[in-house]
Amino acid sequence: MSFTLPHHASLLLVAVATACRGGDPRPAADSHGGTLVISAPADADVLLPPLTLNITSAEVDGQIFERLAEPGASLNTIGDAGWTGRLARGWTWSADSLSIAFTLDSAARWHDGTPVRAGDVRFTYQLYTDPAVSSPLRPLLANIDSVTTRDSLTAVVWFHQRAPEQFYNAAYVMYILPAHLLAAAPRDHLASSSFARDPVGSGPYHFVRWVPRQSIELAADTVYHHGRPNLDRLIWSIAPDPNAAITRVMTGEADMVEFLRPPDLAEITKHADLKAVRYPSLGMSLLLFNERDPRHAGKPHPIFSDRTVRRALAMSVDRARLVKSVFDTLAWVAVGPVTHALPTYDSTIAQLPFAPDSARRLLDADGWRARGDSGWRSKNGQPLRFSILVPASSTPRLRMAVLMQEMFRAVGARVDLEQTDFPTYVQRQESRQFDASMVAVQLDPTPSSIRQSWSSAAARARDGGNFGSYENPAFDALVDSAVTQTRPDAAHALYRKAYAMLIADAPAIWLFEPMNFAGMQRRIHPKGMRADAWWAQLDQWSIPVAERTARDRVALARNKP
Amino acid sequence: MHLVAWGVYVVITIAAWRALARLAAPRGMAADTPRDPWSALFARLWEQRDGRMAIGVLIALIGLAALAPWLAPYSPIAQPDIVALHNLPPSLAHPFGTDFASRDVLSRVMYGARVSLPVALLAVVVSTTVGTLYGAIAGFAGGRADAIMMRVIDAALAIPRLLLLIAILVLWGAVGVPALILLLGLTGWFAVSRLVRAEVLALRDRDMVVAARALGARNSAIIRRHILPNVLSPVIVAATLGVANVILIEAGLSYLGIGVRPPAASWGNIIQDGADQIGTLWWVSLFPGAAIVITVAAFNVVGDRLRDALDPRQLDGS
Amino acid sequence: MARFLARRLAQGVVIVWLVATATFALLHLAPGDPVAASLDNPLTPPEVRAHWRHTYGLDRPLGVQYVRYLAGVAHGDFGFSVPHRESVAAVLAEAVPNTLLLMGAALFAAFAVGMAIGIAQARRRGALDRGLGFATLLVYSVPEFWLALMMMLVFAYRLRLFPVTGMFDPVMHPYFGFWGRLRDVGWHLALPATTLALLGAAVVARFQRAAMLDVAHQDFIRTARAKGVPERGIVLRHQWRNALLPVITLLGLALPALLGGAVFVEKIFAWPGMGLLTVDAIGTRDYPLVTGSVIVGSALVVAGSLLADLLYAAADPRMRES
Repeated sequence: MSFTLPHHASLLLVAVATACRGGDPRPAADSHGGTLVISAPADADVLLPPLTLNITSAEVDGQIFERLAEPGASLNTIGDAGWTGRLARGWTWSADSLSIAFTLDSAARWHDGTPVRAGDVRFTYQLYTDPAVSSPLRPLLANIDSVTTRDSLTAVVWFHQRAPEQFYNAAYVMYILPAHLLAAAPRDHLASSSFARDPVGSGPYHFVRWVPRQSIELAADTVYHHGRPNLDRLIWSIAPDPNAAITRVMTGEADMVEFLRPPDLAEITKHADLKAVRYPSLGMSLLLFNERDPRHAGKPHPIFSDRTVRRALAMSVDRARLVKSVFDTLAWVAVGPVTHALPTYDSTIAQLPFAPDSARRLLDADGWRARGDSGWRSKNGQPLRFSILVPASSTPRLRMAVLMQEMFRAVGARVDLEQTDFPTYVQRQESRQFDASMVAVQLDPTPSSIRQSWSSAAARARDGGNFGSYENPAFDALVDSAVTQTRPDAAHALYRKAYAMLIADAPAIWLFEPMNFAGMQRRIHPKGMRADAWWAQLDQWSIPVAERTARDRVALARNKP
Repeated sequence: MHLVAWGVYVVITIAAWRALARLAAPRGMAADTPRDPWSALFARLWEQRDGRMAIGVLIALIGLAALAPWLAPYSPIAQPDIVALHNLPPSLAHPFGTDFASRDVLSRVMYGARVSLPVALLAVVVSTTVGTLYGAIAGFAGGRADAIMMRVIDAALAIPRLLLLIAILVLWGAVGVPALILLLGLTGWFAVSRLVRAEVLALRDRDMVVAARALGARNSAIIRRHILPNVLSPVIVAATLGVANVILIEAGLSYLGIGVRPPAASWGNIIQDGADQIGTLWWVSLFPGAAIVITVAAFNVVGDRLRDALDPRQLDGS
Repeated sequence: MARFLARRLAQGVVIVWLVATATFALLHLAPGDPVAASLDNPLTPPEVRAHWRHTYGLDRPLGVQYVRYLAGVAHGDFGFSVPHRESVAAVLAEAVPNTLLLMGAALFAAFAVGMAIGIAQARRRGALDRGLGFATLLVYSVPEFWLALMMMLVFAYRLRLFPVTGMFDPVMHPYFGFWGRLRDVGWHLALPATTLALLGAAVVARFQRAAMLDVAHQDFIRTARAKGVPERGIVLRHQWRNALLPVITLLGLALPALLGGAVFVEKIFAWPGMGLLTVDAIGTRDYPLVTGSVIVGSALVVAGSLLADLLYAAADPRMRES
């Protein structure tokens, strides 16, 4: 690329200038080193873990901060099997299982040098659950009664009751925050505090700078208590849209992008210096039906409150062809509210078949008759007409919506497409102002979060995640027993029964689960890309010395010019 | 079946061309026979080769748009085989290729003309009407009222039209095509009003107007009978060029997803379908783009020639 | 002269005030709740929302909000942008120079190239005129976003001559020295500025050609020719200077077009200027930023047209008397 020449020249100047000034460009004597440039399709919103659900923020926070422990690749959330300590060196359960005592690693330090203490864990819990902070993660900590400190390195988490996912709630949800730096910050606008602009954590990388909408830069903490990270520098290069994010990797301006679409995958195989790395994921998409009328509060939806209509619509969509058309072989047809990475995945669960003739018969029998030449159906004056809400930012969902529109037309349902920008989409979804919505979800690493999306309580709560307002007491009962079941195989069987019930009731059409391919430069050696967080072990990624480029060799010392 | 339709289309287009040629220069008429101003204007337009060609292009386009239901080889919304027939490059069966939903791009471009052209034409009708009225009233009223009205125009011209349209369309969400036409029209009349006002100011002090006033004629009658006909020439030029501009704006808005919404095809949203894979699916964005360029260029040429033809200096025969 | 300036300044203030009022009205008439949309977190409980609404004064009656806003603007306080977590003034202070840089480069190139083409066309009618005319007509008829896409496809993606998006290399820029940074920005400026310059040059060329042809017919040119002044002298000295006047007017009109019309170029090339900022702000319902941006933009436009008028007065002796 002809524009790396200026880069080389400038770097040479920089190196020469530094050397002449007698500065300290650290020689690459050991294997540590390298810069990883991650092409991110969206900017982070705030770098404070309690406040954000944004994916780029999560990626950056995962390097700056630490959890008490991390799950294994199998994502087991029942008990603590497979979990390894991160900030905590180890833990012990009390005899009655109503508390867990975490022993912190004595070598753990905040990036300003202060040692990490148990008081920080207690402070973190208080911050996450403080109503003034209004953290969206608060409901996940409901089972925790309090956190106390036994001594300066032991924090004890107390629970209201025994539950299979106690450990997950205690260890996974919170990133531990420094009490000495955050105690004085104003709780109700934490996002604009000075800490938010210059976060300090105990993780493998420390914060260097954030140029809004352009880049976020982190540098390795050379005294990190689990050992110095391999890569010296992590930079998130924020692209204006997913397209530009991928292009930057193709042209060498960035080193990796976390999601490739089918045409990009084909393109990557033509580049000798790029590779596609597959990793498991928890993402999937569905078409959600709103069972309440968005135009008249309190009334059921004139079309979607009818189970027969929902089932008929689900049967009029050829999901296999949809997925093949939009993704070719790079996605699976979703089998329910679950993905391959979750232990409860089961491809043998009975699905609603693609049967447009049956769909038409069902609709006829239900009273939805086709009128006139157009073939559009209606019943008692209510036309079978609805709109699908899609965010303009997602091309696969847009395309799928256009294809489904045609499939619905074939059974006499008239569909309008409402394409909005992402913030409007989120707002409409959250305030339940839609007929049907193309939803892309990132599932939690535990099947129990199905409650947040499909339980009756979540439907009735004003800020619950059950945006379609699906309510089925039988389903609630099934899930409740699954959640409290301590034996994994019994629990999984109960979850599968719950999935089958959801599929039969068709509150949504389960569309696709994309295969995740990351595109990256060949010289990058990734490690530990977990389904819930491909970035879980970024500190163990490496770039062999022999393959390093000029960008990799920029010395760690030149951090804050 | 289609061949017949295309045959009819070609015949009609050639016939229309011939008819226009005869209108411009009726056979057997001496070169310097006095003619009414409109027919003389048209003759002027026809004289120039590029004027002729531009008008020809426009006739062909309008014919294509009008007869699209019979001429288009496929339905613009049918998705015959979303797996096997999607993303096909141009071929004999699909001269412009197919898009991600296996829809024929040629048919979509033809049907797109049925949306993009009328939207632009109607929007310009709105903006010309509003602008002419406003400018005429301002010019005629004069004094304080005129000054205030013109300040408002200055302020309106200081807001970029595109930003205003984006703001309204994003904030109010999905609007239908009629509302889109109104919006496009109501954001584009400011320059026209300035033009008309300038003309009206010039005309106001001409003898015939002064005389009419002295004789006690009502203002509205004066505007109608003396001023408007003379104002028409620059307005027509502005309108023609305005159509070109609105086609570009509507294409841009549809490309952003806030103009004409799917599944209706407009040239702008067909480009959007192909924009994010422009390297591999170049045909989806190229052909509607070319259609826009050709149409806009034709309108621009006609507008330019009209302006030349209406230029008083040239009419004087210098 | 002083009276002329004073009058124009006063008019400018009125215009900006009208723009501010219109924008305020438009945004507050729009459906949807500004606080709900601009908060990133959809699960914020209602009490917190009410608290935010109170903090930003959004629970006051509309008239009160309007007056408070105007008072703020008079002091240079444009409010607070929630999505950016910064004052609007700070956000704008970052973006305005980027837009001026892009606009400046594009305008300069557009006028330089456009005037040269226009003059060349007027001087030598015939094949060159027709050829250039056709070329400018085609460029003039291309939609801006399409041209930007094509430029990016060919020069950045296929030929790899220029960077794809952004204003500077997100990784290396802080590590460059002064000249390195200059070169970095310049390299990123090339494609977006060229796109705008191409479109602008086509407009300017058409205008310049028409203006020169207009002037060519005027009496004083004919006199000069009759007197035997060589053609080149006529073109350069008389025709060009007189033809300059409409072009200066065009400059005054070009400013709003570039401030708003650069939206597509800024979006496609991710150039962090005011066009992109405003469109994103509209999308995130960041009303203070939208209003602030429109006000600043229109103030720039007013200043630009005042400048154009002053240039016009300087260039045309006939104007100076009036």
